[in-house]
Amino acid sequence: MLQAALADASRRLTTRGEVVRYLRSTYLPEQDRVLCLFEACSAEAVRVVNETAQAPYRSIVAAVERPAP
Amino acid sequence: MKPRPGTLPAELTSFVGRRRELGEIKQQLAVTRLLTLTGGAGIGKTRLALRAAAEMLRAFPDGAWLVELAPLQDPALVTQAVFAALGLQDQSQSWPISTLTDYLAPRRLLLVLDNCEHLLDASAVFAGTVLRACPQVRILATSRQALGVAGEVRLPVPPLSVPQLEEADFPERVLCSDSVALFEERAASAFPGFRVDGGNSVAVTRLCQGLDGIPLALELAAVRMATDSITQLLEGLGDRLPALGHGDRSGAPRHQTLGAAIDWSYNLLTAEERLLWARLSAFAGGFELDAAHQVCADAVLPTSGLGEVVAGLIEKSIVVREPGRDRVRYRLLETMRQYGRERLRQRAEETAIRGRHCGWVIQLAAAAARPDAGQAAAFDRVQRELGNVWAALDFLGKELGQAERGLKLMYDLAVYWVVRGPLGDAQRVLASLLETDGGDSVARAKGLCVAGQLARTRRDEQTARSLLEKSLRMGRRVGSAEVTGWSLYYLAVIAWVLHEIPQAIELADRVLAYCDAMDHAQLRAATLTMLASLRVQQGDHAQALALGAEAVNVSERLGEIYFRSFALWVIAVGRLRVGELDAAESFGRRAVALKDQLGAGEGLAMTLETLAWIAAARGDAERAARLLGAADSVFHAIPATMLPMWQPSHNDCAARARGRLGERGFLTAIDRGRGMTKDEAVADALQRTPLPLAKAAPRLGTSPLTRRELQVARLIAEGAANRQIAAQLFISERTVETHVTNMLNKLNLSSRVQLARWVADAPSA
Repeated sequence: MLQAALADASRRLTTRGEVVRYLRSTYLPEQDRVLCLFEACSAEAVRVVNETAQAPYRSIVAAVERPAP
Repeated sequence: MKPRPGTLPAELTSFVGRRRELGEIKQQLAVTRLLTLTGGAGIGKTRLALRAAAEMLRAFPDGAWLVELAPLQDPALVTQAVFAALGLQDQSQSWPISTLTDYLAPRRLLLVLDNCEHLLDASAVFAGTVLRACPQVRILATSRQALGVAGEVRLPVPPLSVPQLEEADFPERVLCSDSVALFEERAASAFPGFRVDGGNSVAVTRLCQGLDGIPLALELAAVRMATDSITQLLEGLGDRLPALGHGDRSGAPRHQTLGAAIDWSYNLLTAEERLLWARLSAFAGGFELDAAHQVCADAVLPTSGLGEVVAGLIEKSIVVREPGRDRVRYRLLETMRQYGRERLRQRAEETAIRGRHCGWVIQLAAAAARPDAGQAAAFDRVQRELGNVWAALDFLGKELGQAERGLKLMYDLAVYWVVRGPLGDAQRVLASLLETDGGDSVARAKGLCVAGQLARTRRDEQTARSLLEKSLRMGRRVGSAEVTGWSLYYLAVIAWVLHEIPQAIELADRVLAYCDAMDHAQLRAATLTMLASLRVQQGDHAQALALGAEAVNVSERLGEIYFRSFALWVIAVGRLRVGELDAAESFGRRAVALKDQLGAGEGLAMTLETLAWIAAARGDAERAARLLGAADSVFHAIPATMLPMWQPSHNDCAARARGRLGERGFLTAIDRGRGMTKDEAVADALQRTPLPLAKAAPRLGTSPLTRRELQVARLIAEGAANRQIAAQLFISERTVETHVTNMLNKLNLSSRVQLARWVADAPSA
C-alpha cells in the first residue's frame, strides 16, 4: 500500500513538471526500517513525494547505484 | 479510545433548493466510491455535501464523518485530520494511512473530505489508498477541481437557479427559483418580516441575476438587509466585493467575505492562470477560444499554450464551460470577472487589454457588415458576443472618449440591428454616442444614418426622416458617397412606407444613379428590390418581376443574402398577383429559408404571411390559416405588426380560409400555427417535416405520484401545513415530510411552492 501511494505521489508530481520516479523499497526487518529508492533531480522533490504520501521519513540522502558487474 | 458515533455539524440555517443535485449525489454514491463536488468560490459545495451526507446517513451504519482540510497547510497532516474527525488518536509508529485503513477496512461509512483543492495531491493519494484498502468506505469530496483519482466521478455544482426578468413582476414565480428563495430566507433573518412581494420582486430578481445565483454572495447580500434597502444593494453591486462585507463571523475566514473566498482560489493558481484570469475579465458574457487568443495572448501568455491554461482555469472552477450545440463557449461568473478586473488594474494592463478587446469586437462588426455569403454566420457570432459588443461600446464611449469609433462600430452592425435587434438598446447606445460633442465627420454621419434606420424599423417614420436628412446633409458635407447613398435609400423606403409613391420613386432613381457612379452593388440590390416592391403595389407586375430578378442577380454575384431575401419575397408576391402559384411558392420558400438563415424576425413573418396567401389561392385553407397563425406568432414575439399596405392581402387570405374551414376550423388552424415554435413554423412553411403533435399537460390521475402522495400534494396546494396534513390524513408529521421529499425528488422540484403550482397546472383525472 505504501509503495502504491509513493508511486502515485511520484506520478502526480511528475505531471507538474518535477520528474520523480519511485523505484523500490527495501525492508530491514531486524531494524524495522524501510529504505525507499527514488530517482529525482533533487532531495526536495523526494521530500514532497513523501509528504504527499504522508510517509514519515527520517532522512533523505543521495545514493549512487552500482549494479553488479 | 472508542470513536464517537458519526456526526455531521448541525445546520444553523435552513437548506434551500438543490433537490436535483441532492438526487444526483445519492444516485452517484450508490454506484461510485469517490464523488467529488467541484465548483467555484461560494457556490455551496460544502453545504451541499453535508446535506447529502445527512440525508444518506441511514445507508452508512458506521456513520458519516466530516474532515475539514481548509485549516491545514501541510499535506502530511491530511491523515491526522481524518483521525481527529473520527475521534481517534494515532499513536503508532507506522505509516498513518496504514493504521487508518486497518481501522476503516471493516467499516461501512462515508468520509466527507471538505476543501481538498489546496492539498490536492495529498488528498488524492489518501483517497486512492483508502478506497483500495477499505471496500466499504465511500468518499464525498469537495474541491475547486477534481482530485484526479481513478474511478472518481466529478459533479460540478452550478449556481442556484435565477428567475428571468420576464417573470420578475410575479413574486410567486420568482420564488420558484432557488436563489430568490435563499435570499428571502436569509434576508428575513437579518430584517424580520422581509418577504418577496410585488413591490420588490423586480429588484430581487435583478439582485439574484447580478450575483449570478452564487449562494455565498446571496447570503452576504441578505445580511446587508439589516441596514440597506434592496435598491441600495443593487447600487452597490457595481463594486460588489467590498460591498458584500462580512457574513457569518463564526464561519471560516474564507467565507466571511466573498473576496476572501475568491482570494483562496486565486492563490492556488499558477502564474499563467492568474494572468489569464485577469485578462479574461475584459470579456463580458463569455468568450470563445479564438477570441481569448486574440485578446489575451502575448509573449508572456503565448497562443500555443493558451488552451491549456484555459483548461486549468476550468479545472479549478474559475472559468465555466457553457453547454452549446455547435460551439464551445466559456465564461467567468460576474463575481469572478470583477475580481479579475481588479487584478488587471493592479497589473496596470486594463487599458491595453480592453483596447485589444475593442479591436476584436470591431473586427466582428466589420465581418457582419460585409455583404457576402458569410454574413449570416457573422450575425450568429455577433449575437453570441452581444455582451462583448456592449462592453466594447461602453469602453470606447465612456472611458476612452472615442465615440467616433463607437459610431463606426454601430454603423457596421446596422443590418444586424435591423434583423436581430435589440432595437431599443441599440438606439440608446447610439443616442449616447451621438450626444458627445463633435463636428461633422464621416463617423457622425454614419451614426446618424444608422439611427435613422433603427427609427424606421421601429415605425417612427418622422424621427427616422429627420435623422436621415441630417445624415444626408452631413454625408454630402464630409464627402461620403456611402452615407449619402444609404441615407437617400432609407429616405426612399420611408416615403414608400408612408405611401408617398412619387417621392419614393424619385429618391430611388437618385440612389440608382449614385450606385452607377459608386459601383455599389449592395445598394443597387437594395434599391432595385424597393422599386420592385413599389411596382407590385402599383400593379405593374411585369416591371416588378424584372426589377426583382435583376436585384437577385446583383445580390447573387455579390454573395449577400439580406437584400436577396427581400427580392425573392417581392418576386413571390408578384408571381402570386399574376396567378403563377407554383413559382410564387418556390420563391416564397427561398425567401423563408434565407430569412431563417439570417435570423430575421419581421422579414420571416412577412414571408410566412405570403406563403399563407399563396396557400389560400391554391385552396389549401388549413395550411393558409396555419401559416397566418405562425406569422402572427412571429410578429407578436418581436413585437411588430404588418405594414398597413399588406393588410388587404391578409384580409383576403383570412376570408378565403375562413370560408372553407368555417369559423371553428379556421380558429383551430390559426391556434395551431400560433402554437408552433419558429423552427416548426419554418419547417412547415418549407414542408420539411410533419408537424409534431401537441403536447398534453400531465393529468394528475396518471402522474408518477402514489395515491397518498397525491393526497398530500393537493393539501399542500390548498395551503395546509405539515401538521394539518398529518392530522387530516391520520399520519405522522414525519411521514408527511417523507412524502414531500419523495414528491419533490420524483417531480424534480425544489419547493412546496413549486409543488403547489404543479398541482394547479395539472388537470384532474
